[in-house]
Amino acid sequence: MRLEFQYYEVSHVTFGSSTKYDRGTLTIHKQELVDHIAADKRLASVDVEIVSPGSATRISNVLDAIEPRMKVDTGCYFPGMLDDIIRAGGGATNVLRGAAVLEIGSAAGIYGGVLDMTGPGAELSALSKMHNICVIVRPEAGLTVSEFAQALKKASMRASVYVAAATRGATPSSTETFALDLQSVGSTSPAHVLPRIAYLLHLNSVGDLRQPYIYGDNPPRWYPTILHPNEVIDGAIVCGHYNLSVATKNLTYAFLNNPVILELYRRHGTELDFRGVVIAPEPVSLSDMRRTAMVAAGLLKETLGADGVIMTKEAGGHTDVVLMESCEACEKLGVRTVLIDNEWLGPEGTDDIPLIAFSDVADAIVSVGNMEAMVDLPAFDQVVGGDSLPGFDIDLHEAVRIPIMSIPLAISQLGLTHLRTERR
Amino acid sequence: MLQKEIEKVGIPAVLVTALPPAARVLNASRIVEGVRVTNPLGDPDASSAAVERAIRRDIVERCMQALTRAVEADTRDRSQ
Amino acid sequence: MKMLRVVHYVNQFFGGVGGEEKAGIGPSLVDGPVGPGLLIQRVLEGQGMVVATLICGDNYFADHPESAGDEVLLLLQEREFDLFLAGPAFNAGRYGMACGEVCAQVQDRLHLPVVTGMFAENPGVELYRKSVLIVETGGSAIDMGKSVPKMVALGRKLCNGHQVTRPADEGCFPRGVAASVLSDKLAAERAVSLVLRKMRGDSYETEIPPPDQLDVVPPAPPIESLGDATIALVTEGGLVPVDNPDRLESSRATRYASYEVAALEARGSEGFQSVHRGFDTSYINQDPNRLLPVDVVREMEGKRVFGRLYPRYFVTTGVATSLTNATKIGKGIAEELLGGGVSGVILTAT
Repeated sequence: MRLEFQYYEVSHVTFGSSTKYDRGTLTIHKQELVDHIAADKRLASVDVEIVSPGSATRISNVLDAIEPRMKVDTGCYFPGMLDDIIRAGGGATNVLRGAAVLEIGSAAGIYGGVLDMTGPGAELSALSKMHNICVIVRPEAGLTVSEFAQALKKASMRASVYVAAATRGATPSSTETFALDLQSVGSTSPAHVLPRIAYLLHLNSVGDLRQPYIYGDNPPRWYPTILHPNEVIDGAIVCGHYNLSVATKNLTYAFLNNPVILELYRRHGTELDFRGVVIAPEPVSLSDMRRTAMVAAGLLKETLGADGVIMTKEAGGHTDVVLMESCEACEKLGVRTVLIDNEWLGPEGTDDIPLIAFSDVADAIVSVGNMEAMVDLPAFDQVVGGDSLPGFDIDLHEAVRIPIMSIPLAISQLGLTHLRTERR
Repeated sequence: MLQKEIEKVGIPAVLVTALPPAARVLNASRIVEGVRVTNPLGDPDASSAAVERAIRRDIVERCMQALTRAVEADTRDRSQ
Repeated sequence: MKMLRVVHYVNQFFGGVGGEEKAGIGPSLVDGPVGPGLLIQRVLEGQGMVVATLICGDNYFADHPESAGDEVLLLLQEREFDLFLAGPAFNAGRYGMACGEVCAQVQDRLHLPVVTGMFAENPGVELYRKSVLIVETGGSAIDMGKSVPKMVALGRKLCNGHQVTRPADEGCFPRGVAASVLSDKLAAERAVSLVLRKMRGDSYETEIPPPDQLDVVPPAPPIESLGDATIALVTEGGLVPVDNPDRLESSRATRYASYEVAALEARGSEGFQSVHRGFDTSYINQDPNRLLPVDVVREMEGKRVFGRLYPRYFVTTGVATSLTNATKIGKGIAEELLGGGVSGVILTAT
């Protein structure tokens, strides 16, 4: 399968009388975008604001971040969600690089994040370097949290595709091709002598408000399966979590720019042989965990022919058990493992147990940071997205002290972060 | 962890958890495996309330057994 | 610059009092430096002095764990000083433990900077490195000439208000603090490099080491007569009355609460909900028996399977990873259970 990303670099975003992209400048017709989103009757109000890098602004109640993209052939994106159910990962995709649509809303039971565009908070998140198109919506009265979550998701996806459509007909700044033909074990291809490495992507699958969408659906119980890496980075998976902190879910932006897949692609053919991707659920019973870990390990070893695997997860503490079960199942088959995981070490970094579960064979774990480490953030005159977070008695205009897990893309369970811990 | 503090004062405590591996990291002793993280002592997928209660009864009975049995460190009772 | 006033702790041997036969002597305070304290004073180069030396037998702290600290503090009350140095103990185990303990007490109760010194294999290192700065020394007093200046240098920095963020930079053992840092590489990049090293057979290091081996508590003896037993229910699942009257935290609670089982039975899911935010609580909220098996336990009580159900249940939220909180909360609950004559507990984790 062969995918071509056409990158349209964004250096400036502004409101204007029509939506267009011209040599780095993205102009958005605000009313047209608002009307487009507000067509959804579940929403009582819609607002759009532009926040540029370096702007002394705090953005609050951030629930997801989406890179604006569209398929050149359909003009749409996110198959199964917005677009028809068609295969992601082939053909050409226009990418507005350097921009992000931020999905913003607040309600009890939903945990939005806080993104500072300058200051110590900004240093922790790649989103502070994006031109952020903030889509701020309020639900109609009487909507359940679940209905609001679905409306939020629809709103931000539609906004991202609307904005991406500005690239139609324009010349891209650059292009990048992703082509991986996954030949079965026994191939005589020269790449075969390189270490064979695959990626195991665990996706949460429990509960109404905490599941990613895979081609628009996510059944509560499913067996591990194989997706082409291009599908993962081309919109097959969308973040559907709402009642988890922004750190315990993987944002859509992070799936689209899945750093494990991109890094394996980068070194494919030179340092390693990228064997492909297995996606697996995160069950809530031990026997289900053992079953899916075993099946996943088998797919990695026998079907993809991997000798090494990198695995990531999402969601909370019990998913450490999922990760350890997968780790053990792989190592048992002789597939060497590296895990990426977040840690729970308390506000001072002094707690004793970094993960809920451990295994003797989990001897190579990469850290994406301590969820609970506290960050002191300064006051901001400009706050977009709401003056407070539901359930917290704070005024976001003031200096605040928050755990790192509340900053979107500071901690990233897919590894799209520079944050880690260092034991001293 | 909680179980150990209770056992330290001489009161036997049995831990019902869907994830015995997590409990073993903490050197828990008496462990009875629960159904799922979201419903350790029940099963919303059970065909009726009566069936669900029977599942619960079974787990609680194992708890009583664990409490009345002398254990070496790390005794585990699988629910299957 | 103000003169730095140091109090120095030594054992009976370095204090010149005697050898092993004096290991049981209690603490005493003498004026001025003694033994290695003379080197401390020399190193201070006229900018400070050892105002007093605390001499104590190596066995004393081990033999009097409750009172030794109090006795030492009582003696120290008589003096005004800025810095407390202990040892160095090198590889002497009892001496190391005593140095660690006395430093911890002075630090906690007098809020003064403390520094000690030990060899890596001294058991005092493992026990005290997290609470007290321990300079790494050689294995014997041959290293005195190198260790003491390091201890003094660090002590002076502390007295000047220096915050130690990297113990290794000061020549100290790690304190087990995990600092948040930004790597120059994305985690995913590091992961790919790591798996390549592992597969090649090169040496590699994990970024998240397993926790230190935790205490194994000998299990409590079983209930002898279940028919007479009082059984209590405890949970980490955060099930509380809907208005959360005691404001139980939604995760990693620092305390616990208790409520009447009868109230839970009477009001059920309308009156009680889980505040735990670490997992999907909807099934438990639909039917709290899925967390606290009250219906079945009551039924068994009625059939005399056991004596009686303790009228209150105890609740907290998710303390799996914070030992400090779990210990504090556990002790509190255990005490109440003991006071209530409880014979056995069913504890539900999530």
